[in-house]
Amino acid sequence: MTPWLRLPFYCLWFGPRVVQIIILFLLIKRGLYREVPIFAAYTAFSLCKFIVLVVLNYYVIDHAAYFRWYSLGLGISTALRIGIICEIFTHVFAAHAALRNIQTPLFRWTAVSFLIVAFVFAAYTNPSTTDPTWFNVHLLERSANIVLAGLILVLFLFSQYLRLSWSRLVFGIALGLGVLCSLELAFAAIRSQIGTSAHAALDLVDMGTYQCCVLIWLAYVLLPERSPAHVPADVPENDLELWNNEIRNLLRQ
Amino acid sequence: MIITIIFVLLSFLSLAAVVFLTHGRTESPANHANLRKEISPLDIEAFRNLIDYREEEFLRENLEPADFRLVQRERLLAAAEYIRCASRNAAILHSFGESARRSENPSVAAAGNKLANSAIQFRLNALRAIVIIYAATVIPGASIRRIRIAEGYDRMTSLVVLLGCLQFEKPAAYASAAPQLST
Repeated sequence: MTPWLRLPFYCLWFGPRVVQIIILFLLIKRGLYREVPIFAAYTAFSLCKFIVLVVLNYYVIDHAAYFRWYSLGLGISTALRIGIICEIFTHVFAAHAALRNIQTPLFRWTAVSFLIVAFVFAAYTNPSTTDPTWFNVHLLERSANIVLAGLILVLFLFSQYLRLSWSRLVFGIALGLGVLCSLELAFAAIRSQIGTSAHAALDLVDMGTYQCCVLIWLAYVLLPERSPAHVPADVPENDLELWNNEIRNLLRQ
Repeated sequence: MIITIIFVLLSFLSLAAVVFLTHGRTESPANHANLRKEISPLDIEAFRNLIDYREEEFLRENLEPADFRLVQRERLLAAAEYIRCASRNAAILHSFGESARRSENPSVAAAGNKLANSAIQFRLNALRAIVIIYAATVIPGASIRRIRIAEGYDRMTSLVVLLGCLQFEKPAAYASAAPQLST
């Protein structure tokens, strides 16, 4: 790595972890981890993964060992991200009794549909000339990001159509994850194709994206929840006869 | 390489969609007085008439098949337009319900919750009904008897009025919206 890239590289490698420590501290201090336990677990896991990878990077010379641990971390991290999306679905849908019956089918069928799409694309992707392990790991990462980005997109589309209300924290988590998964889809696709060439530049962009996303999360963890809305004051155009009739109809139902 | 390019494009589209879909959510809640003005009156009886299967049978018996198909298609498209209009009204009522459910008055909050849920249920039913109606315009003879939209709309209107009654001592916009919902 060229010396002039070293400083931004270390800033972007260590920066998100500092922000994540603050996020985890705030989640615990404010008791928000009870509201979003999987997100809290994901943040804690990201920090643990970072420590393990830093130790491996500085004390273990074997690149294969580093890549094995990196891949394991990627797998667990992806599983936790699916858990976060499941958590978001629960938060958004649980607030509305009319939606409780469709939460699980919507999540399940959306995930299955995007999984099929991911497998079809994976089957038709020609192995590149890069290292097979590298190719396979990034192909899996690409497939996982198709499912994750698809789930978040469907959730946003659905909630936009029904104008569902979100708590600020859950919205911030979904927004950050949506941006992260969308862009990581592109990075994984490029990495699986071009191998380790341009790896440093891609890593910088990837880490920059992650930095932006953790900042989005931090912003929404710091934002206070909306205070109860005031009932709008307006001069009523009361029609007591109409009201009485409607209430009578309602009681008859 | 083509698949990689497709994925890069898809990822940027997905990012743009996420940003677009989340854009309005950070803005302050809509002004209820302005929202009320956006409600479009709906002739429920005319709508019931459009999706009444007895009317359909009557037309089928008295018109030539080609004429019937043409008339029925027009009726179905008109019904779809009614549903879209009702669905837009439901979205506005959902905003009213959402505001009311955060009220400190438990009765108002409960009524607001009911209204919000009814509006969501209505919009889901409307989506299903529009799919059925468009399918019926393409597939001759397809039945639209399963559509139960008008009842849901009536129930929602009643809930708006109930919410208005509960807010009687704390005057609100909801009750005055109800007469505009149906004509």
